[in-house]
Amino acid sequence: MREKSVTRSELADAIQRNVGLTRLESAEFVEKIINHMTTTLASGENILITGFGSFQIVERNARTGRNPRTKVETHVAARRSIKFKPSQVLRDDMARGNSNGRKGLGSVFID
Amino acid sequence: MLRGDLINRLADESQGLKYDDIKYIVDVFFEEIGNALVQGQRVEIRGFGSFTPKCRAARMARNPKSGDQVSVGERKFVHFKSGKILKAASIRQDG
Repeated sequence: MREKSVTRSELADAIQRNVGLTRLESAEFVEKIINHMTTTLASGENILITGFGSFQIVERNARTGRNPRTKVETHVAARRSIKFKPSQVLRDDMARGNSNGRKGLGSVFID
Repeated sequence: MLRGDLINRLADESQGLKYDDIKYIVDVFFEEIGNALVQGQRVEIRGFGSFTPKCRAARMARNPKSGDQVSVGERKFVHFKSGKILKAASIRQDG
C-alpha cells in the first residue's frame, strides 16, 4: 500500500522544525510560496528553482480528440499546460534512492 | 522566476524577516518536497498540483547512429499533474 502523500501540513512541519517559526507562521509561508508560484505560472512565466527543478509552460496545439469510450470526435482547443522537470541533482538523488546522502541544510533558528 | 525572485517577493511582504531567513525557509520547503520524492513518496499540494515519483522499466534500446543494441537501466522520473486552481489560472487561453 502507498504511504500517505506529503501535503501542505508536512511542509509546514518541516519549516517549523528547522526554522523555529510558529506552526501558524510556517503554514502561512507554505501558502505564500504556493501562491507566488501559482500567479507566476498563471501569468505565463516559467519558474526555475536551482537544485529542485523547473516548471515550464508548454503550448499545446488544437487537435481533434476522440472520446475513448464513445469514439465521438471532439475538437480540443489549444491550451497551455505545465511541465515539471526535476533538476539533475534531484534526478541523481532519486536514482540513488535514499535521502541519506542528500546535502542537508541543518537547522537555523530565527528569532 | 528564479529562486531568488521568489525570495525577494516573499521578503517584500514579510516585515521583520531578513532575506537570508526567507531564503532558508524557501530552501527547506523545496528540500522537503525533494526528500519525499527521493524516498518514493508522493507530494500533493491541493490546488497547485501533485508530484508522483515513478519508475521507467529497464529496456533494450538502440544507438541510432550505430544501430547497436544497448540496455537502458531502470530510471526514475517525476510526474507532475497540475491541480484545479493552477489549471484554471493558467491552462485555458480562451478563458
